[in-house]
Amino acid sequence: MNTDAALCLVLAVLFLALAGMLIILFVRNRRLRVLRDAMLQEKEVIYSFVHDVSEVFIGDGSADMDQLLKRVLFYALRTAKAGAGAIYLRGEGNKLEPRAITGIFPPLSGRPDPGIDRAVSKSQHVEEMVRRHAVSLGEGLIGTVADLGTAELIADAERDVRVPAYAEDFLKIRSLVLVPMRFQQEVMGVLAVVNRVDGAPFIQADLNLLQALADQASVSVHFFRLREALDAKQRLDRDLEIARKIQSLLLPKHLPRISGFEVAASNLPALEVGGDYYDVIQIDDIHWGIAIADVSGKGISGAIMMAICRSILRSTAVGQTSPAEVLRAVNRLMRSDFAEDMFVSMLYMVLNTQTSRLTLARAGHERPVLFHADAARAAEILDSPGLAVGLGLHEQFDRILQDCSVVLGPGDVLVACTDGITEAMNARQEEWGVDNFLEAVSSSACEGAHSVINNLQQRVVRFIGDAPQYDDMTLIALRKLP
Amino acid sequence: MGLPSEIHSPSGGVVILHTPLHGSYARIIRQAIVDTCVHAGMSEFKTAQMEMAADEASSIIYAARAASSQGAGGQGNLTLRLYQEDKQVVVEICHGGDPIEVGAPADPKTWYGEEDPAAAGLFVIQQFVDELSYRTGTPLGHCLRMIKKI
Amino acid sequence: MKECVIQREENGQLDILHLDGSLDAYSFPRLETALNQLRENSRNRVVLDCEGLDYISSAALGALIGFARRAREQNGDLKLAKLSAKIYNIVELLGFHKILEIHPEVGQAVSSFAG
Repeated sequence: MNTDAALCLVLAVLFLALAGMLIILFVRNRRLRVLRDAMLQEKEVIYSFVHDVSEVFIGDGSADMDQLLKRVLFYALRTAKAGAGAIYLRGEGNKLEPRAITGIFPPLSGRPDPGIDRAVSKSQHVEEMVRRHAVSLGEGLIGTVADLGTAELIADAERDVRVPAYAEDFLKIRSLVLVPMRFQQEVMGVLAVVNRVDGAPFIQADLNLLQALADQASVSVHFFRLREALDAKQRLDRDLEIARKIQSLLLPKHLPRISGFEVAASNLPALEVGGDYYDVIQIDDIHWGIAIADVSGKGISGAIMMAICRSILRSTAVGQTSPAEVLRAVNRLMRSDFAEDMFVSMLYMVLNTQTSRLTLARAGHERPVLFHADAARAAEILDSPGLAVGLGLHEQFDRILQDCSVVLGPGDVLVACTDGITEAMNARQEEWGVDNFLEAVSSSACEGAHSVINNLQQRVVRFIGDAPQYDDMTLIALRKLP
Repeated sequence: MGLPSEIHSPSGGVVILHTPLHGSYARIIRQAIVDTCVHAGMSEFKTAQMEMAADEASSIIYAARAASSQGAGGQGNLTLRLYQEDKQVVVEICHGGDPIEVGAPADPKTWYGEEDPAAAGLFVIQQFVDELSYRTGTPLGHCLRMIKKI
Repeated sequence: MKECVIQREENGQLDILHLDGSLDAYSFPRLETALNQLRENSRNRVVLDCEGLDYISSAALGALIGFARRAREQNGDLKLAKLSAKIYNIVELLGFHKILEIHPEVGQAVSSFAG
């Protein structure tokens, strides 16, 4: 071989080697670039995730829960590059309610809805379907994740039997991730996302990120709910405060003196202030009206009904000596004031101080008891017919209510109460009862109206002990001086 | 790629609660503190200690401010700030009105809580938290601050 | 965390009070009333079943010590049973376990009352 040819060969080999190296370098470079891009992308996802997470956490709960959840869902979709998602929270009856929905989130359980074909806006229809359906624990994927508290990543949803298959293309679920939202041991909800926007299936890294986001959101939701409980208690306490103030304004501060008689009364309000009240009204020179009533509603509405009732009774009582007539007028005048389920039981008595005759009408109230000074005579339970005020049966009310009267002898005591007294319960769920009531009165009847009231009050309070009372206890006693 | 540790145990969120100045709200305050401590990874025993310290602190404040509040719906508020910072949990209970005269804690050999509840309460708080301070006149009011290491 | 519910169970000369909930300054008075009633009726042997107790304040513990002392003067006592580990830990840290008798089970507390 001559030197020229050899030189050419060497050059050719060198050239090929160089070309080969360049190609290898080029390919490697490209691979490195792809790797770098991938790492940069992951870094970007992490950075934006950290940013998203801190955005989600609200310090003092100024936004409302649904706004918070919508924000969480927004970041969840962004982080996982998902096309649609939903957040379910445990609500009434332990069912999971959808609190935030973004994108076309197909129902993951429940019956298929044929109406979808006819729907004008299919996406709206789907959203409504999801919104209307509260998921039970254990029902479908959402219910299972909530029940077991474990996350689910379904990369190939079309081949998984747990995932509903929809004929409509826009409802097809290709892959999905569900993560439980939990605070300590308690699962409070589920965050679910479907269909990555780039068509790729979700991967474990997506699940990890979503779980971390859900964990952070759960803290917010938990404290949010604590705050809600706090607000609810505050509202209740404020209502009670107002109701108590109203009631204290309505009860007479001092009972008037009725010559020849003594009157005493007491009111022990319950935990949730009911609507008991009593009143003593001067009708004319010789007649006095004594009322005791029990409104069915509690809290502020009960207190307001009481106030209305008292005003109306006072205005109709003046100059009218028939208690039944007065109550008929009260029933008529209060006709429009009563809500559906509200009523007032009332006992109204008119005392003629000259004849010592006591006439009474009983509108669905507890029967008053008359104790005679003459111990040989048994206590009389004064029964007379009448429906409660506010039941709406005006014609029957008028017809059934009757006056009945009795003459008080010297030393006789009449005692009326509300059912909070006879139905007062102790820790063993036993009621104080009418017998205890009768026994308590007869043992102190001769000592005067105030003693009777004090004695009754003491005994019932001792009986109750530390059991909470949900009904006001009101007593009024009238005694003809011996 | 592993996640940075800040994401696994996020801190930096502050829980703020406003409650009326009434004993019936003490249980909500305790609940919030227990939740914060458990979430921060504090042991059950330490959490119970922090819970008691906070309860004693609120009792001291309720008792001292009792004269100026009316019932559970009345005026006056407590502001509670709870947060985790590094390896400790911080509880701040702030109130308005006049600052409280915080006396000396009870003598551990003789106290049983009956005679002087405030002194007894202070003793309990000192036993159960790592740092205790009371600052008057801050923007949130007069603040009792308790810190306990996780 | 709910307010304390108290259920009384009579066991011969002895009363067992089953507690459920938390005993703080606000809810303690109800237990106080129950204990006072027992004392007024000369029932000085009391066991508190604390299985359902999720919190007790130091003031409440102090008051229980007071009750125990007064009961002991009448040949009775107030004993605690079934305290949770975390509450027992607190009681121990405060040194109250040296003053109040604490049993793991209600039955043991009951039998520990001599005679």
